[in-house]
Amino acid sequence: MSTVVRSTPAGARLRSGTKLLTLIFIGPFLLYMLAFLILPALRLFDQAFSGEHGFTLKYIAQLGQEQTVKAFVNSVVLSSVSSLVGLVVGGIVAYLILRPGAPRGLRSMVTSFSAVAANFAGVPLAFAFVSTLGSLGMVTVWLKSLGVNLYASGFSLYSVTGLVIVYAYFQIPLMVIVIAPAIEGLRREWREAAENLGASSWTYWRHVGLPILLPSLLSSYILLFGNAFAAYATPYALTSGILALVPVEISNVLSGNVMLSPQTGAALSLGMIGVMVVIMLIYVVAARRASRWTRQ
Amino acid sequence: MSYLSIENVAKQYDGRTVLNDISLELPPGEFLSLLGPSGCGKTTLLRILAGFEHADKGRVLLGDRDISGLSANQRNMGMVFQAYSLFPNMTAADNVRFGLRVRKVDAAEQRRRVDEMLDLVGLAEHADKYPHQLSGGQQQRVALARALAIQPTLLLLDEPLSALDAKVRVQLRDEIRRIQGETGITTVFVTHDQEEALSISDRVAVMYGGDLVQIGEPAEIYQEPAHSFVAQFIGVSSVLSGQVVDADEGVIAINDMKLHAERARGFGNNENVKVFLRPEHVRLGALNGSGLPPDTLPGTVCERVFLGATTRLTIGLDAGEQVLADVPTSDASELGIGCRVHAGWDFDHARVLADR
Amino acid sequence: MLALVGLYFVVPLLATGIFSFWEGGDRYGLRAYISLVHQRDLWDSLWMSLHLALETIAVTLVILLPAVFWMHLKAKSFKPLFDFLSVMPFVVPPIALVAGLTALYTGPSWFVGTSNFLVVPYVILALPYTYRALDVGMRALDLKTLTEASQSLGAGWGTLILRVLVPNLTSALAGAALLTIAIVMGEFTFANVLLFNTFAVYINYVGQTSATEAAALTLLSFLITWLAMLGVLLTGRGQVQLGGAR
Repeated sequence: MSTVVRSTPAGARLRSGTKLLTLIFIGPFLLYMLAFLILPALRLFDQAFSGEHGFTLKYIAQLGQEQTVKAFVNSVVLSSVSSLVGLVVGGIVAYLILRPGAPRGLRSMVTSFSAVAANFAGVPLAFAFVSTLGSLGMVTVWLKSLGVNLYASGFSLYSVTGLVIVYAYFQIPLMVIVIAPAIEGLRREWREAAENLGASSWTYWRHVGLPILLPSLLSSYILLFGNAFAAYATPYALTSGILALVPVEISNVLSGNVMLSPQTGAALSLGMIGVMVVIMLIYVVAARRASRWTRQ
Repeated sequence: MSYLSIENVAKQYDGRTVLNDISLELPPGEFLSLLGPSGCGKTTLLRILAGFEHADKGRVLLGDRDISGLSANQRNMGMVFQAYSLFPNMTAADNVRFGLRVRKVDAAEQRRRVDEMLDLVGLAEHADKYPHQLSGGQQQRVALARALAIQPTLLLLDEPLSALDAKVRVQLRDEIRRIQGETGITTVFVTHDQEEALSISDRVAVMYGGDLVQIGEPAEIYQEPAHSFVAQFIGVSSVLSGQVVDADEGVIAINDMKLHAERARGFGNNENVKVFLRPEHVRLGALNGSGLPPDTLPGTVCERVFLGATTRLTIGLDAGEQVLADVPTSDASELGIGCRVHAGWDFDHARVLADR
Repeated sequence: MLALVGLYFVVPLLATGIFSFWEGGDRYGLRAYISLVHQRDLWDSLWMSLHLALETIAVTLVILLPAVFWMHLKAKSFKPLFDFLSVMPFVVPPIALVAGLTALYTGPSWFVGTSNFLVVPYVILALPYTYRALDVGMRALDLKTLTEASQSLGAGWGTLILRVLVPNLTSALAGAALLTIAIVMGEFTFANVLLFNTFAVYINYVGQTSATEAAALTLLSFLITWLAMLGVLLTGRGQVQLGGAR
């Protein structure tokens, strides 16, 4: 890299040099994203709309099929609920470990555990839960010994409800990781000022703490939602494609379990992207409202 | 009966003594400053008053009521912090209103009080601004208004001006004093800036290493330091080492030169002492052939610093130590660097303290 | 409260652990573990995942560090674009991305055919986390002053980045590296579709042949990754930030 010699007035020299430098510094990153994310995504667009004779809407139309709609509904419900669980439980856990009075070691332990657990998805997680809550799982058996027959009362690990419990295993840690900086950003002085003015804990959270955290809470929820929505390995490992979920449908179509049709896969993918875009838009609107006070 | 009593308060952190047996009493309406360098315990003491920390020993009384056991939100005190004072998600008016809402004051009264307080601090037109739209000085004023709105029993200020620009600092400290005078609220003000403390307080309590070293009116602290730390921390002082030669007559010896020092009476003979001199009290004269006048020390001018109306000269004494002397600039022209001079002072103005 | 949550997280691991010691009937022992240690493929897959993780970290840093640095220093107007891009990996689901990637890039075969090709999507997968870690880390530094100070002492851009920026960003970089490792070690979708034998794929394969071995492997992978993280966190004086995507 060349040395910038400051012998001439900075203004004149930098202006022409800056544009070039910007290209050198930022260019590779943008290029990378374009080549490996944007273009493939656009390719999906292209695929979803092309039949043997050119432009066609038939693959998109397939999205209206009963099986497909069911998959989308399942996915959305699963994602919303598991994200809510992650939001609330993860938020509380993050707060508890980051409070000024919390022991130092606890924080390191929980943070490192969270980093691993957040990515524990897939076969290992499925396995762990089958061993726990499967029909012959440890907890199921234990409950039976207490007289509670889990599976008889309709519960199944291989249903949306079961998956919510499983998803929580990586949603909660993800939330802890993501919300930690925001919680640390809550200044001690605000809490003390509120106390000083006579507020109880609840009053503080209601009027100061939660409003300040709201933008971060919203963005965290979106992150969790996207994470759950796109999850493939875990539900596949658990349900082997029995339960209708969009990512599983896509892989079925791509690898020939049902029928080999990349265009259907592309159409389904577009559907997924569509749902995510809608969610993002809702988020953007909500976030603007929530952070009014930062941009006035 | 005093308004605020602090009785034998002590606190330790991880085995380190942060506060060592502090006792203090304030009459109602007094403006007291806790002054000292970082780590002296002044902020800890303030936080104990506010209820954010608890003393290991001792107690705090408001009137005749022991408030040591009360939690922070039950004490009805107003506090202004050094930074991040305001709730960022609320306007100035909403911030001021907060304490009133908590106390369930009715809406009309809330509005009236908020307007009154914002008027008092001169920020009525900024009522609907958010903290990030206000300057540092404005934010602290709103914080003050917010603290006063609840009509607190005590006003606590934790270095409220330290994070502000120098000019704003001076303006605001006078404002704070004015407002305090108008409202008559008993106030405890923590600062490490002695000029701040001396200029606006009724009394100053100097703290050092967890001890309350001296407490008194600003003039007294400045002119009659009772402790070597105070003598050096407040204002500028030169320090000379000496020994008491004759306690009854008040004679001390500084490097074998005998000088009269009234203040030496009351010490024992041969006791080691330190003499503290303020530059404005040191008198210089050129050393010419006629010899050394009594009760003066010979030396040479080493440095000159132009301060405007006065010039500060550093005199290297023959005996080794240095003395600072402030001389009217017009007189200083004769005393150039290298000039031989004799330095003397009024006995009254030399503080003699035991060498501990 | 924490105890309850802790229980939820520990019980499945415990169950897996107990299962991994099962040897049929009522016998318990280390048979599954011993068998695993002797499987050559296991070590190969572990090694593959590890070096993929390292390569991903390297590529991420090379393209992301200069970009985020420059954005903070001189091109703040790019921030909204960067923020948007960093969230894109969530909008385009991996399962869809893999199809797009394979359709678009079929060569050169010395790259696409090898497992190193996985680094390409892995960098993207890790992006929300790595970008966030770097962004937060740099925001905390006074970049303008650091840069001007270095330049006035004669440093060029390379020296500036390597000798000034990186040492000041160690906690953010460590956090980004840790998250990347966790992501790559756990990644299944891309590797499976592209038929590469990474650690996660291997666990899946074992799961289809021997349940106890899969259980053992699950437990091992979790514990080892966790201990490694803990080690780095503690030696980094607990300063590592594991900031997430937002």
